[in-house]
Amino acid sequence: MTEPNQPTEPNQPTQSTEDPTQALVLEALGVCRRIDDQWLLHPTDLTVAPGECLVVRGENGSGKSTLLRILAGIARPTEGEVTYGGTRVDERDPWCRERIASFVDPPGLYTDLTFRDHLDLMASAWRAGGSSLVVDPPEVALARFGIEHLAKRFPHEVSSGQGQLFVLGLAFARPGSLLLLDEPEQRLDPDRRATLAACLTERVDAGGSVVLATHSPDLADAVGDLELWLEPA
Amino acid sequence: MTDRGESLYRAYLVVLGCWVYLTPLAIAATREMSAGGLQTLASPHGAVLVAAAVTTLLVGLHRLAVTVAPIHAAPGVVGIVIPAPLDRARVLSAGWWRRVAGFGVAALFLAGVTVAAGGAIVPAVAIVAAGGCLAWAWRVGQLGPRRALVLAWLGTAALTLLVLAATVADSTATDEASPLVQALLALSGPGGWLGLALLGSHGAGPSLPAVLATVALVLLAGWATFDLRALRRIGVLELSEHAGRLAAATTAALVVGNLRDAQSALGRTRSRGRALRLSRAASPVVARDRLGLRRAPDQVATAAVLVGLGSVLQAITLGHHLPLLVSVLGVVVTYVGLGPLVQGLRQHVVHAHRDSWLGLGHEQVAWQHLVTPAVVALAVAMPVTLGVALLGHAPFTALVWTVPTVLAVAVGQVADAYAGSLPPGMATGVMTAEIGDTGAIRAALWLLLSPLLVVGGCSLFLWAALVPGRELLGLAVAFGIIALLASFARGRIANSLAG
Repeated sequence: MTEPNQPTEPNQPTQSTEDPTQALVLEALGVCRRIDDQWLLHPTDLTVAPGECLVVRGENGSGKSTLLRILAGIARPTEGEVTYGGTRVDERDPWCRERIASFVDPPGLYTDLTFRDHLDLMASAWRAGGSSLVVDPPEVALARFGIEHLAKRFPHEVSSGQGQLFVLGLAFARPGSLLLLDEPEQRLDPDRRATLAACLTERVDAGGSVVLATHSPDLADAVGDLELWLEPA
Repeated sequence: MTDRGESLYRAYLVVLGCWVYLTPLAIAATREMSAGGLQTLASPHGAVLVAAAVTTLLVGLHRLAVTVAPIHAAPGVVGIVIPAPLDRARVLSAGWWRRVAGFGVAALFLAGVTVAAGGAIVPAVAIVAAGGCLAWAWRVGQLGPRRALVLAWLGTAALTLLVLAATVADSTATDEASPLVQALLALSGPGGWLGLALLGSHGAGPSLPAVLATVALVLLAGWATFDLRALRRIGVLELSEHAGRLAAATTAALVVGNLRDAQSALGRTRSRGRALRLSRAASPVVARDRLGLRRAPDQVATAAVLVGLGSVLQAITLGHHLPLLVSVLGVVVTYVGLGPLVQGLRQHVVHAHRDSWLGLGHEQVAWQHLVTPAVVALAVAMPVTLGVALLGHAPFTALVWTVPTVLAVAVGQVADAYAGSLPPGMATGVMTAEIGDTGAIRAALWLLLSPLLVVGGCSLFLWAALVPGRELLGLAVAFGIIALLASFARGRIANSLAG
């Protein structure tokens, strides 16, 4: 059996808040993924408390995206278990969806909706779901990454970098005490990477938890409280 | 094998297939065509039908150009050859001539049948030239200019009328033709194309207008085929986009066997109705679909026509005691008609394995995507059925059967959308002693499973609807079938998400 991947630094003490949704801890114990004798992710342990940002790093193919999918409850681990606030994560569980905002794969955007429509739709869906949490207004969500001028664009009318900024806008507009992001720095220019780092820091400072897979040492240094280095699978 | 050799081999296969399978059938059908049939074709109703068919063909080719462009190149050519300082028309012309050749083979086949059935050379030449013009209409849809499209449409409309007039000229009871057709007779004279082609009654010889029209058609087809200036206007970005979409669609359809992904890859992107906003609705997904349809009025119109036609067929079957087959045909047309309305569902299915940024469950969203299409379909089907009933061609009870039909078709669309990829076992050939390899048949049945289940299920309760006194039984059967279809669709959704 391979030695479990573990964070290289101990967890930091967290700020306590009165918001019950922020008093949740993400824990993964011995989660792994393999197909027959082929390892996609070696056994991994981790704990992320409120107000912490865990940066997942590793070579291509080390299982970063697989780990994030498992943490999001989208994929099942072959062994091990992931809990959030003591509840086993499962994307099909509305309780989990209300608390875990995962943007591991590119989100499915509707080709016949503008960016503003997508944000309106998300706000409408959250209201319809009976959630007490509020989606950021479109103006705020788009301004956060400086793309308010793209509000009336359709997804096929923007560059790949602008598309990535919009995806990040969606990710940060969506309520959730745990945010999972897979290589969010992709296709961003240096200024936008700095904006992203600032947004992540703000999120963590507000008591949110973040798990972030990245190849960018600068981003990792800027936002990471903890670092998990995955060995090649 | 070289590219040229491969092309020749493909052409050989097409010709062989046409010769062995299609030619005998076409000749038999042509010889069965009577003068009475041609007279019907040339009547005012026939003229409307023919004009509608020709217009549909042209509009279809024009729209096809948006999704499957006639001028495209392989990704490697787009990436390496197109950026070079070559004459772009020369690089792209080979592909263009292959498209023309495709139409040419089909036209030559029809012309061959015409001659074999006793027709004359003039109509055969006209048919071949018309094939070239259709290819040109396809290219105009991609590259323009718009005036060429108008010219193609007007020309085709005029030629259609000429053909219709010629048809009547060759039939015996010309006195019964409508005033419009009578007037056109003066232009075409006896011995027009269709009459010559189908009846071989060319004793009087082709009329001068018919010959001139044929010559004009040949010149137009020749000019359109060899005028390659439009090919220089096409940009590398457009070529790259078409190459990528075609490659994705081909992979999905042929390699993975997933026609839904292929359809998505070829789907149109739209920039219409930018200022429209989500409106209030009971469900955000319903509001989303409503907004999507407001931005695609052409799709709504297409769906309305097809759903309306399906409703008419279903209603008149009850009113005139027509065979059940007519009603079943109505279900098929309604099923096809709902297709343009469920684009929200189709887009949702493509993203089934991705994160749900809406905060709603995938299955929940899938079913909510059916509400708007079903409501629109019912909003068309009910008034149309009521209209048919008010005109006396159907009983008012026909309205009752519209609801389960639309619901069954809508549920079938969910099952169809979640069919996923062709199971690997289906792609494997299975030899039988009776009919040889059944692999293709099994794959086709699997791909068509959802519509077949819908049509089969609807046939059962529509059969009960035709028998007086069994209405309640029919309704019970109808809603039982809808429940079974829903269960089947849920199974497919679960399989899709688990996979």
